Amino acid sequence: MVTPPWRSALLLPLLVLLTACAIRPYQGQQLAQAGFLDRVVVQEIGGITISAAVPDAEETEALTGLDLYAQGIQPVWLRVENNSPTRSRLALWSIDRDYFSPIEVAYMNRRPYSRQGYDAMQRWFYQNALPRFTESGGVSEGLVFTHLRPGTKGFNLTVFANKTAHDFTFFVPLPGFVPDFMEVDFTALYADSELRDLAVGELRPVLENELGCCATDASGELDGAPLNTVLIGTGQAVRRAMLRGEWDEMRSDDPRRIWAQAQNFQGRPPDAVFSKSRRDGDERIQLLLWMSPWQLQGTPVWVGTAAYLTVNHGLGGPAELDAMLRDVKFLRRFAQESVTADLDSAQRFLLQNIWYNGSLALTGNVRGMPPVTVDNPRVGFGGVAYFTDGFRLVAVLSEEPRALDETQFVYDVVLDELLSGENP
Amino acid sequence: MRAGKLLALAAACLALGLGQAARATEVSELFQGKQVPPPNQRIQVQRQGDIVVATAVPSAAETREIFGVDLYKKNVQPVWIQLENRRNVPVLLTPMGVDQAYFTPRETANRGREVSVGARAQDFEKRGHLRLAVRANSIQSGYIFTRVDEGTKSFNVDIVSEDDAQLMTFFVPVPGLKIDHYEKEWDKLFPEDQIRDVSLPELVAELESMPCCVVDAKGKNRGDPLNLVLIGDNLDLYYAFLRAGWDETETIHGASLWKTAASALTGGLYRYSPVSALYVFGRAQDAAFQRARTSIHERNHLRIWMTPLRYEGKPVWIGQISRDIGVRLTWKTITTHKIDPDVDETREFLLEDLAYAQSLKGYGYVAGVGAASYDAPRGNLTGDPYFTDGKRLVLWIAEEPTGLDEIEVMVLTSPAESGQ
Repeated sequence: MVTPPWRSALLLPLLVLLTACAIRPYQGQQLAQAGFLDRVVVQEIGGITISAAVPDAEETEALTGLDLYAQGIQPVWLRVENNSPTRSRLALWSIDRDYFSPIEVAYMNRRPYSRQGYDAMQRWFYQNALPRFTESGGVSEGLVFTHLRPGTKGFNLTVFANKTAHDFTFFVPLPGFVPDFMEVDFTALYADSELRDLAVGELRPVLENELGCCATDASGELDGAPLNTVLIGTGQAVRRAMLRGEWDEMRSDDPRRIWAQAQNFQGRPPDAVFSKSRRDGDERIQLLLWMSPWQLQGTPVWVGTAAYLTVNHGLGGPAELDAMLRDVKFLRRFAQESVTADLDSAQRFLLQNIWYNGSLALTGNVRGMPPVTVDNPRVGFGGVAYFTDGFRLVAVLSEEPRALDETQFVYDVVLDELLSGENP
Repeated sequence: MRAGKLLALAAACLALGLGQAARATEVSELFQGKQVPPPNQRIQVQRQGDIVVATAVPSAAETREIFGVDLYKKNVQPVWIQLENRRNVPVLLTPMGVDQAYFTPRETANRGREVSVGARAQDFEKRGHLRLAVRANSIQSGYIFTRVDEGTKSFNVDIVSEDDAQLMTFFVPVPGLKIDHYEKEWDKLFPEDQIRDVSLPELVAELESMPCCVVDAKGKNRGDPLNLVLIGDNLDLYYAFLRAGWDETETIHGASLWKTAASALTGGLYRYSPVSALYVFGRAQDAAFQRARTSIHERNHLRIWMTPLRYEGKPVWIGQISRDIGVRLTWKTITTHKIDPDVDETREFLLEDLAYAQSLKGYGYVAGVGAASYDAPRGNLTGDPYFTDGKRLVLWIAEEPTGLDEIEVMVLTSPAESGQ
């Protein structure tokens, strides 16, 4: 078939345009010399030693020539040293089940490059990727391309061989990101005379009688968010539970912290705020935590609030809300419809999240405040109305991963009360 | 670890039985908790000891009828669950077991308001499972709001109490999709005299002599490498893929082609887009699955064909897997998926995906594809290059949940060649 001359005439400028765009050569850097390798974190289990390091946005761009962070891609560098007697296999899936393959990352970024440029880039990504297998006595190293999560890079990693498996959990710090709790000097929060170590039987009366119902405003006079959550665990255990549950850590100046920042316990805003959002919507759940002056047999007791926060309630904008919340009728409607008003659902989500991610050793409930009904809501925090059955979730966190059926329940009158509240 | 047995097949054969008089008397002895009628007659029941769970999933249309809102459009799919707790202690029913990103009734109402002004939280709360705890000796029912799965909805129902977790896996068909392998008559694919039980050495020899690659409809041009072998019953295979989050594919017909074209242009997520036919043994694939990642450009495709071989009584399947890494234009089909040339990477991903779904009993490698190096790749039917070590991955599908530390590495050929 003969191509009509007008078609060639049309194609020519298009071709020129396309070639003009795609002329960049590609130059990836030597991985072995990358500066971020200084921040390596090392763990050993069963003769397998894993080293992990994570480049930040700039280091990634310097290494690959691409702004991968802007595309939601975060490379993780790993080195596997196999001193076990058998060939080992690292499951990339365990780090991120939707990881990007090396050539996929190259292909996503093909546009600005010339043909040779793309070939060089594809080869660079292929050659610098982490191999899955490491021979006995051997070493492998390279990059895995994961989805970007803000804050400290926390991930699991499994190495398996014939009928054996080893599970690692890594937290690799990133420069420039300092989560809020790293700025808190926990040793200076309380005077020695204020600290109290409790025996098991002493915890409940303290939580029911001494801990106030709610956070307060800065002056300590007005009630804010109900303290519906009590976690018991070391700082490390709390952090692990949150990372396993895919909560984001936050900087102290994160704009999403505004509401949290207004809540006070013992005259200070939260020591840590964690947030979790949906991939396909604007819904968000937050957990505010303060270290209390109490310890349970030497383990810190954290008090806090779990609440859903939704940008769009479908109930009007912030200005409208502010005015309308002074209207009793509207207040009731807000409590009936708002995602945020439903504190108990947020508490239940938190419990399951900790539990399903293997971090829950023991759980129970204690009374935190009298029940507040949806028809007669309280206005507590930042002008927002809420209702609740008034129970506090108490969760003792485990350091090691736990199966679902290895959690201990504290069945008592509180559970019976909870059940009798169920509407037939 | 998930220790529950897969009882879905048995369950599918059971009727709900609430209509039976004898059973009705028994049930009446239980405390009657919240009662919400099921959305349809497609009810599945499983029993484990003193716990009986019945489930049903309303289609998009049924959901509109019940809730007055197009929830599917907002990625919300209600799952009806009835729990009969015949124990003397309370148990917990966890929405997170059904979907780790479940919606609370209020979140559902909030999403509903985006498509229908009239959606009210109490309509969802009165039909939803609100609390986790279910009384001792009681029966209750309600909806849990999950993310949408079309075709077959697969989910777990976990009933947990102290020291005990009953984990049940359900597979509930949802009308709306036309899936190709539902219509296959598996026992008629091969004449009976062709079906052969083989020993392990025979299996390896047979697998290594099978065609390297798929071909086009005319049987002429060679395409993607057949780099997978699966050993397991139809249903075990099917459940394994569903549990690992793979979706069935629709047969190509007009409406879904439009959906695919639209999502190819916008990068939107249409998880069930149809796949084209590729050929082995003179016939198109017997079943195809795909696993979406974040957009249509990023998904993995898998096609399988049943072979006449049986190993320890189980059918042996041969298959092909590829990872889409983008869309490019072609003359023949207008748009086609660009596949990752590193086909071995995708093959190993599948092993991990099935292992983490606890569906893998063992694996090993045989030859048969023929190696192609990075610098001298071969091409598939749409002209995409690929390189490979030339091995076929043989996967034994587990009938019962199997942990990562229970998977057996099989040495099928000489250790040097088998990759072990």
